[in-house]
Amino acid sequence: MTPPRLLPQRRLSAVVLAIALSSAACSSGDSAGGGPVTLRFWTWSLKGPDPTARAIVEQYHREHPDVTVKLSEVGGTPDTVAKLLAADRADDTPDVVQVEYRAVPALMVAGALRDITADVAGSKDGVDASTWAMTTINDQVYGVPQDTGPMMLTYRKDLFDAYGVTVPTTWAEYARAAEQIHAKDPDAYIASFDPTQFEFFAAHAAQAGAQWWSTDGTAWTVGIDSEASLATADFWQDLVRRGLVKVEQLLTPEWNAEVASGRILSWAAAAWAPSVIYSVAPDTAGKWASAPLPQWTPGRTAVPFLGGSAYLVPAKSRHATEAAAFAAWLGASDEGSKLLLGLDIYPAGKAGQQETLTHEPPKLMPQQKDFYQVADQVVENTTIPMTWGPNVAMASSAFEDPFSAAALNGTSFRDVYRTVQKAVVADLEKSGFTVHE
Amino acid sequence: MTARRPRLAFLVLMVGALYCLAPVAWVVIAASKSPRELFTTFSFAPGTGLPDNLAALGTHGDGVFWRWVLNSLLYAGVGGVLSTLVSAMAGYSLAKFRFRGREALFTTILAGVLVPAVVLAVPQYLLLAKVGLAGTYWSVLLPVVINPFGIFLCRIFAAAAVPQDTLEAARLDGAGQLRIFGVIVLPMMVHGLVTVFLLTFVGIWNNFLLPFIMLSDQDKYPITLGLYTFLSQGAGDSNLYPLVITGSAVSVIPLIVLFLALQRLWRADLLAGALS
Amino acid sequence: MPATPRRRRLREAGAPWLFAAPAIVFFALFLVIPIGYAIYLSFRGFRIEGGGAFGRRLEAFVGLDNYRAALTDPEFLAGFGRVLVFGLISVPSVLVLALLFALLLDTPRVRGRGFARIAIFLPYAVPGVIASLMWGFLYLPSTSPLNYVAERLHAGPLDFFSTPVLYFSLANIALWSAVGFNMIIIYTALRAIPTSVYEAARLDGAGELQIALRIKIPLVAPALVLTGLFSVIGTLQLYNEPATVRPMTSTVSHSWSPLMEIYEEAFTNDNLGGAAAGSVVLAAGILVISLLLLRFLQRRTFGGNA
Repeated sequence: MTPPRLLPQRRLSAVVLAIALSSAACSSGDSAGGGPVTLRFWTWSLKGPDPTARAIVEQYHREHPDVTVKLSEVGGTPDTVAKLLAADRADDTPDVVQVEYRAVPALMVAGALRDITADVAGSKDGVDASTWAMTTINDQVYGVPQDTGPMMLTYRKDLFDAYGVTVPTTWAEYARAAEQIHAKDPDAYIASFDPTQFEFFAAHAAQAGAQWWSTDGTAWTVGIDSEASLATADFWQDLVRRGLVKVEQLLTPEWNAEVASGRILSWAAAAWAPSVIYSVAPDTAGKWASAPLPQWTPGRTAVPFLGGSAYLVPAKSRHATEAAAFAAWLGASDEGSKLLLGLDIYPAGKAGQQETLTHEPPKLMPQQKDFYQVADQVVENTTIPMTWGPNVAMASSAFEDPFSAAALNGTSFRDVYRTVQKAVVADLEKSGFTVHE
Repeated sequence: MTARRPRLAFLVLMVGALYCLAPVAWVVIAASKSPRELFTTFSFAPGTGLPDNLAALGTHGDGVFWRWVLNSLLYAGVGGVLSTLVSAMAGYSLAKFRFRGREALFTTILAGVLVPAVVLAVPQYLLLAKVGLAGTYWSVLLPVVINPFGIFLCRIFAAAAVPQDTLEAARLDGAGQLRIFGVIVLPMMVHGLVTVFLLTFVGIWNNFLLPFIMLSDQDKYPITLGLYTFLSQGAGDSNLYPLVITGSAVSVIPLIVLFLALQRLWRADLLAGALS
Repeated sequence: MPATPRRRRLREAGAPWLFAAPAIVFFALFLVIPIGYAIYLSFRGFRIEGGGAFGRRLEAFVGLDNYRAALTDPEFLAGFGRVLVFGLISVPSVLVLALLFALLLDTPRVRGRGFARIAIFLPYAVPGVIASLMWGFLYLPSTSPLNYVAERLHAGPLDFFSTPVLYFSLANIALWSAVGFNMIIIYTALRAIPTSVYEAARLDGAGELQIALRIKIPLVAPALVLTGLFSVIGTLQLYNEPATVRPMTSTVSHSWSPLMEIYEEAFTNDNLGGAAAGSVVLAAGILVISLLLLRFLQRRTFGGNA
C-alpha cells in the first residue's frame, strides 16, 4: 500500500513560515543619510491616482533625486489618527502624515510626533503666524500647515434675492433672514442644523470670545460652559425651537437632495464649502455666492478657521530629516503652496494664497470673480486662533449624542454644554492633567 | 402525489426574492446616475450616466480599481480555499472521532466567536508587525484562515454527510487516515464544502476592518477599502459618490459569477446520499 | 506492511488531533494570543507623566479601573438593553424566514428555484461600504421610494428613525442582510439528506407540508441550532446596523450598542484598555447566554454522532 501523500495544507504551512521569516529579514533598513530614500506619506488631499498629486510628487523628485514620495490614502482624520497610533505602537510608522489641526495636540501628547522645530525653522515665514501657531505647542513645532479654512457663508444668491433677503452681516440679521425665508416658503430653510458638527460649534463659540480649551502651559482651562459660549448655545436653541433651521446631518442623501432643490439656502462653513456643494448639486452652479461670516458684534471682522490640515512627522519615522524637509517644501515654500492650489484646497502658504487672487473662482460660483478676494480678506483680518485640547475626540463624541437628543426633543442646549463641560474636565483629570476651575 | 407544481411556494419565494432584490436594484440604478441626477431624481428611475460612471471607475487613477479587484480575488480566493480546508479538517475531526477533549475543544473554538473582530484587530496587527508582516498580503490572508463558524458548519455537514459505517469499513481495511479523508470524506462533504467556501469567500471579499487595520499601501487594498477612500475624507473634500456606487455594483458581479458556478454542485445530490 | 495493532491504535488516537492541528495552530496564533493581549491591556490605561499641560501619555497598570468604568457606565448597560430588544425582533424573523425559504427551495418541482436562490443570497454580497448610502436613500424622506408612495397616498412623511420604529428599521436591515446567508446554510443541510429518507413517507401518501414538518425540520435541527446560536451571538455583538444608520440620523448615539461603545473607546478615544475591558464584559455575557443555550440544545443536535 503506498504511503499517503502529504496533504497540501502541511506543506503550505512550512512555506508560509519560510516566507514570513525571510521577509522579516529583508524588511527595508534605514538609510542613514545618503542613498535613496522613500518617504511614506499618508494623505487624503494628494490622492495617488490624481495626476495633479503625482505631478507634485514628481516635481519634488526632480529637485531631490534621492527622495521618492509614496502616496497612500488611509482615510480621514479619525482613521489616520487611529492607524498612526497603532503603527506607532508597532514601530512601523509612515514618514509624513496629514491630519486636521484639531488632532495635533492629542497625537503630540501620545508621544507619536516628532519635534521638527529645528528642521522647519527656515520655512516659518512662508506661512501666516496664526496658522503656524496651529501646529506649534509650547514653542515646539510639530507640523507644517497645508491648508486653512477661513470661515465664510456660502448662500443661494438667486433665492435670497427672490425672497427679498439681504446677506446677513451679523448673527442677529441671520436670525431675521431665517424668519423671512421660512415665512416665504415653509419648506425652505436658511440652513440645516447638524448637532454632530462639534468643530463648528467650537469655532462659533470662539468667535464669540469663548475658547473651549486654553492653557497657560501648566494647566488646562475648559471653557465650554463660559457665559459667552452658552450665549451661542442660546442662539441656536432659539432658531431650532422656532423651526427656522432644519435639524439633520450634513451630506446625507436627504441634505444633498434638499440643497439640490433649493430647500437649504446656505451653509456657514469655510472656503472649501463650494467644491463640496458642487459635487452633490452641480446643476445649481452659478446661483451661489460667498460672503464673510456673520459677526456677533456689528462692525467687527473676527472669524475663526474651520478645518484645514497639516503635515506631521511621526516620532518613529526612519527618515525624519527628509520627511520634515518635504513637509516644509509642500506646505510652506512658494513653489509647494502654489502647487497645492491645483488640488482645489485653500493653501496655508502665503505664496499660495497670493496666487489664489488671480485664480478662477470655484465651479459653484463662476460668476463671483472676487471669491478669493473675500477669502483673502477673511484671512487678513481675522483669525481667531483655535486652541485644541488633548481630548478633542472624546469631547466630540461626548458632545454629539446629547446635543442630537436635545435638538430632536427640544430640551435645553445650555444643559448639554454644561454636561459636556463636566465630562471633558473629568476626562482630563482622569488622564492626569491639571484643570483650572 | 400532487401533479401540480407547488404554486404557493413559488409565490412566496418570488416575494422573498423581490424583497431581497429591491435594494440591490437601487444600487444598480444609482450606479447609472450622473452626479446631477443622483440626488434630484426618483430613486428607482434609471439615469443616463452608466457608461460615464463605468468609464470613470475604470480609468480613475490609471485603473487602480482593477488592481483592487485583483487584490480582492487574491484575498478571498486563497483565503477562502485555505480556510475551507482548515475548517473541513477540524470539522471532520470533531464530528467523526470520539476522543477525550473533544467537547472541550469544541467549546474553546466557540469561545473564539465571543470576542468581536474589533477587539482582535489591533492585537493581531501588533503581532504581525512584530514578525514584520504588517502591511503585507500575508497580514490579510493569515488571520482569516481560522473561522470558527466554518468549523462548526463543517462539523454539522461532516456528521450529516458521512455515514459512520463507511468510515469503519475503510478503517478496518487499513486505509490511512489522510487517505480516508481525501478520498472518502471530502467528496461526501462536497455540498457543505461548497457552501462554506462560498460564505467564506464572500465574507473575506466584503471584509473591511481587517484590511483597514493591516494595510496602508493603496496597491494592496481590496475593493472595500479602496471604495472607502472615495468617500469624503477631510472637511471640504468632495465625495465621489458615483464612483463608490458604481464600484459597489461592479464588485457584486464576481460574487454572482461564483455563486452561479458553484450552485451546479448543489444539484449533484442524488449521488451523495446513495449509501444507505 | 500492515500496521501493528498498537501502532494503529496510537495512530487512531492521534488522528483527530492531527486533523484539528491546523485549526488549532491558527486559533492559537490569531485568536488566543490576541485575546490574551487584549485581556492584558484591559488592566492597563494611559496616564500622563511629566507634568504641565502637555505631559506624555504613558501606559500604566490601572488595576480594575477599566472594568469598574465599564460596569458602571449607564450607556454601556443601556446598550445591552437595546440590543436585546433588537434581538427579540430580529433573530426569530431571520431564522423563521431563512428556514421557510430553504424549505420552499427544497420543495420538489418548485419553479423559480435558481432565480430565488441567487436573489435571496445577493444581499450578503453587497459590500458594507455602500450600506449607509443605500439605506440612507431608502429610508430618508426626500429620497425614499416608500415615502414617495406614502406621500402620494397622503400618509405623510414616514420617519424610519424615530424611536420605536427605529428598531424595526434596523431589524429590517439585519433581516435583509442575513436571511440569505442563513438560508444557504439550512438549504445545504437539507440537500444533504438522502432522498431515500422521504421515499417511505411519500409512499405512505404524506404531503410536502407534512414531510417538511415531521422529517426535514428535525433533520436539519443541528443547522438550525447553529444558525440560531450564532444569530444570538451576532445580535449581542450588534454593530453594523446601527453604525450604518448613524451618519443618516441623530437618533442613534455612538453608544447605541455595547460594541459601538467599545469601538469608540478603541479607535476614537485611543483607550484600548477600556475597550478591552468592555469586550471582556460583553464576551462574558455572551458566553453565559451561549453556554445555557448550547447546554439546553446539545443533546438534540450533536448527541447522536460518532
